[in-house]
Amino acid sequence: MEIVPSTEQSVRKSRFKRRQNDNLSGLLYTSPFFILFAIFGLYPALYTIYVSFHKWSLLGDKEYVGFRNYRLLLTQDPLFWRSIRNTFIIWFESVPLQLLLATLMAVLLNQAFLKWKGVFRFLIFLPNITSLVAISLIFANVFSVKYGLVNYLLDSIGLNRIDWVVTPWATQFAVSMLILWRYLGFHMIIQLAGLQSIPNDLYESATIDGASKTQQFFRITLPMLMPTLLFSLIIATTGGLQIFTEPYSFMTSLVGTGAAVNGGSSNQVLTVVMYLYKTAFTDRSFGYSSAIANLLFLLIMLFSLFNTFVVRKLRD
Amino acid sequence: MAAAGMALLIGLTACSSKDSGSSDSGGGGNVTLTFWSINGPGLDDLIKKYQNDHPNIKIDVQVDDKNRNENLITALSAGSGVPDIAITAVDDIPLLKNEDYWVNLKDFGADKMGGDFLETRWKQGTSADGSFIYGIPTDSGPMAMAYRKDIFEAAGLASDRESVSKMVATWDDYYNTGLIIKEKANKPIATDAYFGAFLPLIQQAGEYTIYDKDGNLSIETNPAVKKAWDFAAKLSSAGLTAKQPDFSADWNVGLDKGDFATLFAPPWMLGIVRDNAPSASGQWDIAMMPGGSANWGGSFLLIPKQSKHQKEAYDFISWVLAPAQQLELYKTNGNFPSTPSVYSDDAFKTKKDAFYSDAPVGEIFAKAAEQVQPIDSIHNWASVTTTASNYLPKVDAGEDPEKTWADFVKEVKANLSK
Repeated sequence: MEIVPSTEQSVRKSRFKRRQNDNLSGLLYTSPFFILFAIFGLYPALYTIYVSFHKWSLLGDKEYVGFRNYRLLLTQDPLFWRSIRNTFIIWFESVPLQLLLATLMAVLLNQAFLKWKGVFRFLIFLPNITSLVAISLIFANVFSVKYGLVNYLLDSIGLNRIDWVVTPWATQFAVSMLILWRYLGFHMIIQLAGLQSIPNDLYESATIDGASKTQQFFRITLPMLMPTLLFSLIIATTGGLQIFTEPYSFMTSLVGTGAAVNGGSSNQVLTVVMYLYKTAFTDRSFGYSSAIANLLFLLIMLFSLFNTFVVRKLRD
Repeated sequence: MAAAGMALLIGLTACSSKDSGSSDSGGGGNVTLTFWSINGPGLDDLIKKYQNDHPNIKIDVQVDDKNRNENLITALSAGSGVPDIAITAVDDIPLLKNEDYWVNLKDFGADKMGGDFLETRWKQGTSADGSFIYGIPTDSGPMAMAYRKDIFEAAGLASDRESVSKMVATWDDYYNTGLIIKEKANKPIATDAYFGAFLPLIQQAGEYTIYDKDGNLSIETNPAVKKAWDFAAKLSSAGLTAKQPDFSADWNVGLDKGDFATLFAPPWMLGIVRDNAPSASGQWDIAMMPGGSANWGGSFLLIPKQSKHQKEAYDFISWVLAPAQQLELYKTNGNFPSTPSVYSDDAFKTKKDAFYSDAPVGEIFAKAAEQVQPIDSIHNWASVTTTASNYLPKVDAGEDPEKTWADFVKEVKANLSK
């Protein structure tokens, strides 16, 4: 009787020890990520917060200014609000339509009767792996004012030409189309994967029960596709809020570097990240730029929380 | 994802802080010089020659056209990863003029080289009083005026170089010529309000225009700036601008089709026009521009204070940028020298460009180079003209120039307060 508690104790002890060892090896296995994250993610992020309380041109000393950058941004900088508005406009003009088209294409590509599936899949995905510089050049030639393809077509059907450079909504539309086209293939592939993971028996039993194709689509396909659609939406939202290279590169090809930095002559495609870039590398106000980065971080955080909330609601 | 957006700014620091490369490649006096360069200066052959003549020196050229300036200031500010030799463009040098970061090339005797260079170009690389020499000029960008002979002829005007140069001697002449071309040939004379008028006018308006001598913003107090704006607006409202700003997609096509009669071009732009206008060979020619000339572009070579091989770096740049090498480069690559002593060389007298109707480009740009006015290289005026390049297309699109001017001034001030 005296032995039992002692074995129990030793078992407990060795269990504890093993658990400790497990914990340690677990930490070791995951540490590369955390170390890299600390160096390339956390440290810069904290440093950005530190810099945002200063006026700093990168060369020379930092001057502490407290909350001045934030105060200016939130109360006296119409361009900042403009850049947020632009970001959302471009998002709304590209993402919903993009997800709709991606889903439709995925459904089509998932049909049994379709031949050459691999070719279609490849062609639709191609824009995603094409160099952005090449894409921008092509889009600049499609939307250029005098010799653009779109204006040529408008002309030939007797409509008025559109000044894609100066008209704010037109430039925003052009950029949105570029983004839509570029990421369509990516979302199509995600949706296709989602479709293929839906078990076939569901359709078989629905067919036996006499459900039509349309009914099957709305009762089976769409609900089963919800998780992948949400994934696409979240990716498109966090990515969309950080959109930078597409408008910048497109404007560089369309109107040259000077106007590209400003996001067009009315700042119509100046997104938040473009504004961040401009204040840092054209205006040389790194403190101000860091403050923009932090506000953008809050904004994205807000949206991520909102997303999580929606996903939870949908699950329940 | 969120962290990525946030880290973007400082992430650049982390990304660019790779090994500086300014360490020795081995013992025995072998030295590797890291040289952050761009595609423009075309120094490759000269570098090979230098390495052959100096077997202990290896020059590691790292070309980056796109983020050169961003990477340079981040590396300087981070205090590591800087090259031994850095190239920087004329527009960027005011921001880099900070004695803490650079070797004063005067310490190596660079002041003795000063006399070899165009004074206006040399001064851009030094402090205001010339006591601190930051960089030595590479090639230069004196501007002349490329023009379409066919358009001038269609307007019933003389189209030879001499006559055209005289016809547009002043900016008022240029405007009047524009009216004739508009009326008779129905083509605008200028590309756009910014590159076709505002920018060259500012570049010709003297040393202190956008900022005064003490660095105060003077766009409202110095009449030259508003005058340049008003002229641009006048040109635009008379329909004399094609609304095809330099380097835009429409400009590329316009060069070929002949959508505008003239273009203000430094030597480095000639190749760009040639590449974009394959079918216009023999239509373009080159004359002097209104108001003399102005410098647009050109770079400097600088040595960061952190370089461990300052002497070796200086030996290289002072050799590669000396008149003899600038001449060599002109012959092989067409980069226009900043050293006027070579302008009398036969290479300049005989240089003709078939694309530009056999214009004697050597003589024309040599003549232009000597008419270049000094321009402020202490204050960062280029960011102000960049803002102007954003507002003047609105004037071209028909917006009220006075309102646009007010918006422009407002934004410049807002940018400075950040």
